[in-house]
Amino acid sequence: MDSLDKGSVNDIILRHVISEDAIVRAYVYSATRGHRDTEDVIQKVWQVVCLKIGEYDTSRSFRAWVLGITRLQILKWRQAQARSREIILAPDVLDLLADTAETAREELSLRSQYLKECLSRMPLNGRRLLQMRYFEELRIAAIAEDLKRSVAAIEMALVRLRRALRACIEEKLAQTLGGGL
Amino acid sequence: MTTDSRPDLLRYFDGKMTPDEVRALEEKLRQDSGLRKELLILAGFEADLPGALAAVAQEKREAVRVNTATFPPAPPADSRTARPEVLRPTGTFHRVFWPVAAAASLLLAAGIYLQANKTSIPPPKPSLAVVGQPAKTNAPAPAPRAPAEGRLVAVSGDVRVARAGGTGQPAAAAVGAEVFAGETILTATNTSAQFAYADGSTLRIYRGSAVVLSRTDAGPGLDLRRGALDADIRKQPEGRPLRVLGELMQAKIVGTEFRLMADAQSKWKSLGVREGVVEVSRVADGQKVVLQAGNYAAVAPNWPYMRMDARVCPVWKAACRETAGTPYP
Repeated sequence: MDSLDKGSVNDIILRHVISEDAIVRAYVYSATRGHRDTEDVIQKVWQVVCLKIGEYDTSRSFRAWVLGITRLQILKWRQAQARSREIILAPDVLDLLADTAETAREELSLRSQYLKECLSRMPLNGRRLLQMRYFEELRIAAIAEDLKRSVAAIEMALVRLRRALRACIEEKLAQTLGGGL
Repeated sequence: MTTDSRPDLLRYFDGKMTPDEVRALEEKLRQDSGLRKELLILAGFEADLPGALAAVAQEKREAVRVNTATFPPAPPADSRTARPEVLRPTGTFHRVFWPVAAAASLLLAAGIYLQANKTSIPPPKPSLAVVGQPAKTNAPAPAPRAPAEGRLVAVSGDVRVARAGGTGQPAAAAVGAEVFAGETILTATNTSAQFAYADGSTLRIYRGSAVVLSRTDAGPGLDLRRGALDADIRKQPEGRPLRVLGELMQAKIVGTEFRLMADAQSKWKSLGVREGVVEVSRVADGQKVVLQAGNYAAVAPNWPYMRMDARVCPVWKAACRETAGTPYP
């Protein structure tokens, strides 16, 4: 690409980068399964995107280009985890996930919006438990101790809360799709 | 979503699957595009959860307990979240919940600091101020020097302070250690620190960072050579703003919250504003731009495109979203 001026770069970023973030986030999280590692990888992805934006060929899909960069950053992260006991998805599976991710953006955006709506409707106790785990990043054992409940009970409660949220999202999604959107 | 014949993907995300189960899941993912989509959707849900919780808590103005412990006790035995708690620029809690939690945390830290220093910064306790390396308090009596810029109010692991001019080995520093103009705060790849200026402004310095503090007649300065930091700067005296210094980008801070990031190798540097207004200038050509909350600027050498006006800040999305007050597309 030899004629990409500053204006068009800004335009590309304004039009596309934010809108691709949800899909990049989901793709990265599917491999890392951890919020911190996800943020580390995503940060690197957008840094590389900013630095290499001049190499982007505007005749090709920006999403595919970003997902390609994301895939490489996930593989780098994967290599760095070589000593970890965690089993990380194989590179060929990550490739397949990248292909799938290209088609899931709209749905992911909708789901993200509905997640907040469903959380707003959730009783405070449930939301509080989720906050402790995902917000304050307390260990399950610490939450159990704090709430004077067993670890298994907290684990089960978290699973149920997340399933309830997903069901709520599915319901909203079905209504939206049924409504003709 | 998940039927009995399909793997329980929540178990995968919770780290509960055995290696064999993960391998079996991989095999199914290779063959089933529907399952791949399901995995991505659930990953999106899990990844979005902390941000959504933050947004809802803020919207409902709920009080949320802030875990101000920089370092947990001994690493626990189980679970994927059982890693030592180290401040990281991308950590979910510190990044996503910034508007509520991090600000409160910083204020709390600053409050503790101010409470402990009601009049002026007392001399550091020798047993706490410096450990590991020759203590500052044991150093040859220096010439009268300017007051300390501030002190470390939290450290995680091995944090060091290098003397002005880079002479000698950086000395290990503990909570309470004073840092003077010309000195550099260094965090290792797995350590972090929180620094409080005498006026209560704070710097949350993330892993792998080097921050040089300075002071001239024009006011204090800081130069992030590598790594990342979050700054919460109190209103500065008129005409004496804090200056963010650097080879490529400089900024004047009158009083605001911002994140600064720098990559030593590529020289890439960015500044994102959480609250207030920052005037950033590009050193190469003097171009200036005013960044408001949610704006983000990045520069790099030999990079013809400088993001100076974006309403987006991809490396700092959630904070952008929160501070810009605009819906996320």
